[in-house]
Amino acid sequence: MKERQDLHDELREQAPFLAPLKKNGDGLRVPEGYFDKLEADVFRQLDALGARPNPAAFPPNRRDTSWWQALQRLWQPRLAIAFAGVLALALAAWWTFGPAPAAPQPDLAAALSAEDMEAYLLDNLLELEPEQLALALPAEEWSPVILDQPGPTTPAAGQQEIQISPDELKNLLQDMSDEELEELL
Amino acid sequence: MTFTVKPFTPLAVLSDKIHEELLLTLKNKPASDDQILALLRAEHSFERGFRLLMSTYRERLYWHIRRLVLVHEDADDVLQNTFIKIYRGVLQFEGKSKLYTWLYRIATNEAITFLQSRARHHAQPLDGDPATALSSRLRADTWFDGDALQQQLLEAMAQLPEKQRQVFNLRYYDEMPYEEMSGLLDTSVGALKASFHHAVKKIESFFREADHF
Repeated sequence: MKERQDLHDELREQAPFLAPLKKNGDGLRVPEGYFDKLEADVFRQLDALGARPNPAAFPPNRRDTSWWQALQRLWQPRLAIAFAGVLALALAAWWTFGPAPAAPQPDLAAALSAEDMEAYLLDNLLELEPEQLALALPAEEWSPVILDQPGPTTPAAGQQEIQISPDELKNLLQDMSDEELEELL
Repeated sequence: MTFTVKPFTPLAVLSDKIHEELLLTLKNKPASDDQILALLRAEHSFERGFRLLMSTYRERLYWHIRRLVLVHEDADDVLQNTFIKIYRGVLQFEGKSKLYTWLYRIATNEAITFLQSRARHHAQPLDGDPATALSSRLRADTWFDGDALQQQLLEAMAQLPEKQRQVFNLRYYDEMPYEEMSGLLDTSVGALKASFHHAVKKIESFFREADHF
């Protein structure tokens, strides 16, 4: 409607004589039923010319396409851009709302007093491995016991190096009571 | 798991079921370009698609051609040739423009080729000048029943250069907006307005010379 008004204004401005002529049309007519028989006329001509579309010119049916062609169709620039956008949003969300980095743990060894550590070690002496005890004690406190006898010795925590002669050992045994000897054995 | 694969050309691939649904839809509604092209792009429905294209655009194309060649018999020949060209070439239509734009250009080229061929024929001295020949053909056409002014206007239009004539037809008879015409003729709106203005002035001048004022 607006376009018709625009045209009317345009004609009135540029060519006032053309506006009234338009009301009566152009005087051109078509035979009755012309458009209905046009289709048959065109197909008659096409048959006479032997015109038929080349089957190879048709786009392939989806059922005939390979998975690679389907993937190529899927991989459109706009999809790639959308995927990149979603990835960027996900990364931003993870950066903003993701788990906070772990706080540094306090140094337990520094927090414990020497007495607390000694009490703990004594309470759990049987559960601890020699290597763990060795780490807990200063090196000078766990030197292996060296006896005047052949064969390897096993260092034990808390043992100090004691050197004793066979005569002193004999005297020591003589000074011991029977109960002490039984306990020792 | 099911995937929905959307093709580059949305009309390129359609299943039989969709075709059937499409045909049912078309019985009740005017066909859209997408529906026509969907039928044309499958071999088994190509002919149905082409018939649908003809029934949708035949009148519009006819009147475009008729106003260029003026005589019904000529318009009929040109229109049939146009549809044969469309039939042979529609699978090459890539959808870069509207379907009607593509059809309109084929029809225009056919009409211009026809007019040029006829102009060469009437260039023979025995046939007289083209304007007189056109006038007599128009008077002889059974399917023209206009008055003297209407005949004068059609003859005046026939004198216009090809582009101005197309612009005048589209604007004056079809009342097409300049923006739409711009896409159809691939010309800027400003240039189209200028063409229409020049066409109107030439027609006015033609009428003055014929002493109709």
